[in-house]
Amino acid sequence: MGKVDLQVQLGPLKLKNPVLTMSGTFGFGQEYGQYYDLSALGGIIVKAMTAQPRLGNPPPRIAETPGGILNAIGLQNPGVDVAIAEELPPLQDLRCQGTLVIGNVSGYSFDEYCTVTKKLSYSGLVDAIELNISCPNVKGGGLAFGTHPDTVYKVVSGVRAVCDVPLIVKLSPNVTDITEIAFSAAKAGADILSLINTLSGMAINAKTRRPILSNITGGLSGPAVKPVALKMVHQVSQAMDIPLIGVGGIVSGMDAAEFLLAGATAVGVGTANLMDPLGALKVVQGLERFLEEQEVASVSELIGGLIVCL
Amino acid sequence: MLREDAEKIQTAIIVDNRPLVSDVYHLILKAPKLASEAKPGQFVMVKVASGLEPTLRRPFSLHRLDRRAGQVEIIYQVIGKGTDILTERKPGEQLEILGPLGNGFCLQEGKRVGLVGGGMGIAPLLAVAEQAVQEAIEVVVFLGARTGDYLLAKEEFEHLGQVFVVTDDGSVGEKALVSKPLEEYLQNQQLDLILACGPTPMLKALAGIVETQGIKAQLSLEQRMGCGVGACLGCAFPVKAATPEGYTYKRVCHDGPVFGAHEVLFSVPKEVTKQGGCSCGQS
Repeated sequence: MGKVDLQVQLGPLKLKNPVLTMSGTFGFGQEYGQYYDLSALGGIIVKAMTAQPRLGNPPPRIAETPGGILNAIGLQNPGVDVAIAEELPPLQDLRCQGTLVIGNVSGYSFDEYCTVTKKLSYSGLVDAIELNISCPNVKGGGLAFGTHPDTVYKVVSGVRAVCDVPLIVKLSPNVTDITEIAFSAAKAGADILSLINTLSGMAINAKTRRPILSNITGGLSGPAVKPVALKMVHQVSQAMDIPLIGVGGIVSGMDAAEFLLAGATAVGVGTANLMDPLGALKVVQGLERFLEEQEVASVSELIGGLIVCL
Repeated sequence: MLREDAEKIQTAIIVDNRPLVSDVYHLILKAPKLASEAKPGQFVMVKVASGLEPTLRRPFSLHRLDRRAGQVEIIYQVIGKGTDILTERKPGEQLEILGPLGNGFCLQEGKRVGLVGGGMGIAPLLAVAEQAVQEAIEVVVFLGARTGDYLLAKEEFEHLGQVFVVTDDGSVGEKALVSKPLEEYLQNQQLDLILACGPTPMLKALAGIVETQGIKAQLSLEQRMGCGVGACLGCAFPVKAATPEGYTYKRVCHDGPVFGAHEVLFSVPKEVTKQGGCSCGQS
């Protein structure tokens, strides 16, 4: 590898490079680990875990749309206990090589978020926990945890109290003002914010007059959402001082650089993993090449380096 | 840095790409590594264009494996943006492919094997028919399609074994579903194993027939697919399992595409679908 320094300090976390794989697009790393050495990555955010096993939604679960995909997998996962016993131990070797393993916690109730976080945190098998509060199906009448500042504060502070590792809160773009949500999460004790989760959307087959996804609606991701994500990362980074993971349609090193310039300290690669099994690796390599071409010695120099002429 | 499976990412050269019927194309690729490694019933993901559009690769079954020539054949129907772009790709051009993927058919249990194909599901059966004949296994082929034009590779199958055909419009063979000649055949003859690919209603009917008759069967399933390597859980198909719900989801790309007929569930009980999950997309 080259002469550029790819290390970043993401709040309390030290990353060998700023590229993380995003939850739900990378399983527990096992499949992609057959394609390349995952220690090339800054970190892996594994599949969302819930208290009990979840079967997920009936198919079809995925639809392609212009510049992206729409998915409604439905949190299929073996449950946190099985994940701790079977899925996370094989990843521990990566941690010795400086690649972070980050657990993603999802829930259908306040209690579930806390239970799963506690188990994962105490397992000692993860370097950090990312909280998925962007899920619309929650107990108590459909108030999404992630779209109201008060519920965000409640769930993040509750989780914070039982979380012994750095806490990342993943923000939904499906809100009126993302900075309001970001403030609540930070005030409640989030160490890091990741943004954005998918944009709510739907796809219709006009010939059959039916929605393509069995769930009717799904989450939009991929290159189509990049401008939205860049804007929201920029907006939050301007509004407050908290380390950010920029996520949304990153498929190249140049895309990653754009997010860093917008104010992110690290970036998340999601849909690109589905487009190409080497997707995340190519972002790492592309970012290094970009820095060399630009004669930038350290990737940290890009962070928040957007030049805005007024 | 790269590991073994990265070799599945290959550059193929288009040898031929022409329509068999107005909306069904025959693609021949020079891809020696794929041709030598693939098993009948496996599939390949094709990146139909360079750049970001379309977002995903397209999964195609392998119609024929010509190991000697280092070629594989694919038959595809033009159903959307991806396949439409693929029709414009010319001989001599390169295509990035990912494969072989999935498990493939297993012929081991049969001396006389029935192959049941409906519509585009006929495509992967030729490769397995050719392999069976090479292994001195007798094949009996049952094909069904919209019209006679869509009875893909009918002549090739006729060189390999007895062939029964039906069509939706009666233009060739009887106007019937493919299950009809199969059931008639089974009235006085035996099959040790059935391998099938086709529309879900056809496979569902077939699963019922083989259960009644006590015949082992392998079904090649189709599902909208994301990554193709087992990570995204996009291509889930319900299968019977000892869970509280009585089923679980398996990945067509990674656990399949070929499943035992006895394990496949063609629909999920309504009351459990409700608690399924969420559409946050992060899942």
